[in-house]
Amino acid sequence: MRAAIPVVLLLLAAWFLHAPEGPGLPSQPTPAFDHARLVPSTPRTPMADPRIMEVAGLDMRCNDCHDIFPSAEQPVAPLRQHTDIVLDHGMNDRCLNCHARADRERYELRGDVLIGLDESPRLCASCHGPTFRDWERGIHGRTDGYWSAAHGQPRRLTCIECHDPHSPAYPGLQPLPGPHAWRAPSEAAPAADAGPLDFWLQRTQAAVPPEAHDG
Amino acid sequence: MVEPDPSRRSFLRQGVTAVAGLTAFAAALQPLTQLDLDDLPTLEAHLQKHYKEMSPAEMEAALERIRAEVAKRYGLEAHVRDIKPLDGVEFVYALNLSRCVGCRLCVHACVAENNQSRDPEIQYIRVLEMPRGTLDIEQGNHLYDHPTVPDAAHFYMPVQCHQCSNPPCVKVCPVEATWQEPDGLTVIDYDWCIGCRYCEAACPYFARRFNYADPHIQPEDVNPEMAYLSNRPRSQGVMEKCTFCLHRTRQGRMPACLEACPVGARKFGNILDPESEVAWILRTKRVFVLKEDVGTLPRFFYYFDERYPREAGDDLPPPPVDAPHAEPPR
Repeated sequence: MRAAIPVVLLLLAAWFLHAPEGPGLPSQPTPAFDHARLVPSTPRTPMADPRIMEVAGLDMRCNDCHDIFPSAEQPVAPLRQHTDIVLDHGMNDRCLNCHARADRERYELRGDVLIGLDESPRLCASCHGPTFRDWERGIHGRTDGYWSAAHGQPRRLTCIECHDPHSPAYPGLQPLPGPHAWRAPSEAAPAADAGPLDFWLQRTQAAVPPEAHDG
Repeated sequence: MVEPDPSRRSFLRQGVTAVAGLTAFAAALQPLTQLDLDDLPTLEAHLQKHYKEMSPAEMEAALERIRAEVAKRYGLEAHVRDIKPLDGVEFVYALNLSRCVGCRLCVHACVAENNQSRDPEIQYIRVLEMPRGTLDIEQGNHLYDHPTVPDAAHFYMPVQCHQCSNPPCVKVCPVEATWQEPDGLTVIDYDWCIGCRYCEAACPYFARRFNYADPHIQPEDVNPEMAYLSNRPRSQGVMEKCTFCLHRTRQGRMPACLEACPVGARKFGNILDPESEVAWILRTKRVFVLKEDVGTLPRFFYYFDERYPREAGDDLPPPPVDAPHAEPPR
């Protein structure tokens, strides 16, 4: 009986030296994704002011054409110019509801007030009152810069820096990768009740290529 | 048991047992041979005092040690500072559930800003996808994977540290390695943490993360703007958590998760300033806190706009109530 003690001890020594590492963490690095998306940005960049359009290979301002050609009273559907515009703004489907008839580089408020293209919140506020009220307080929309005026000025993004005014609903975004399923059952992770021996057996079986069993 | 007159047989028996025992013992110590002495904490780190007890000179020495460690480990010159709270400031976060689209940009911006381990992966923010019509977190799913979000049948609720006014994690820490700062941020001294994970168990929001393994970050991914209490490198066996990016916010900037948010659902500011954005939200919006009943008094508020959602499917009926959540029969 006592002769078994050295045998057990030598077996233990062999185990210590050659046992695989324990199950460890079912660790998975984050899948690759486009890190450029982490740069602060909204889904949209408004056109530069003044707006420049390429027409027949020439860079033209709005009024270069609109001063010459009269516009139809009602919009023509489908549009024969500005075919890149997708109009999906509910019942607000008339160009001249927002764009000034007299000066296409300005917006027109009620009462024939013309405002610049950088003042879009005043225009949108004509219909979206509660949203404008929130935006003025910084509750709606994104604020860039500083929370503390002592350190730097905040900058509130205007309406059209996020929303396309022609189809203002927010576009769907591709989500970045989610967390790995550490705590959820997954094929990568060993069973919860598996001990080191189970893991070792599983690993040795996996290490042997299947064709080694043949013959 | 020892025979008075040792025979040849007993000598051999005892000798073989002793040799086998020594062999097993030496083999059991074998992992020690893989130890790299350079990876051991220095004596300096061992003798370092608690954050609150360090004098300015001792803090400067600790920061210098951290700079040297970062330089050695990642080969870059880090800008490590100890940034103190601002007077008259209490930070509050507000998140608009009507706007969040569940894109997880905040999650990964946070990881990039705060030098979390990439492998194994550690993330402070967990975005729950919840069926519309319920606030039952048990129905939340953080592993959602749609081609595009938001999904029409769900809304999205990011959860991170709520910086509670009555933080259970602080109460359970046996070594006072975590505490609440005057500006409301609950912070951790990573050099004082013993890794018992009591705080992780105490937190009702799953806001704390444990470094089970040595954190691994590619040197080019390390953010060199570091603070002692926030995003300096952590080591294996310590807890970490969201600090509202205190190395940014204590200098007037916005947290990284807020800057990344493409829809402006996140709002941050000083609640003691009545004109701040968060003060207006708390005054005028429908605001709630997560798990109000556990009495943690979070500084993280969720709010809604007047209507949700504003797009197609607005008039969908609410989803049916699941049987286990229905009223039990009486």
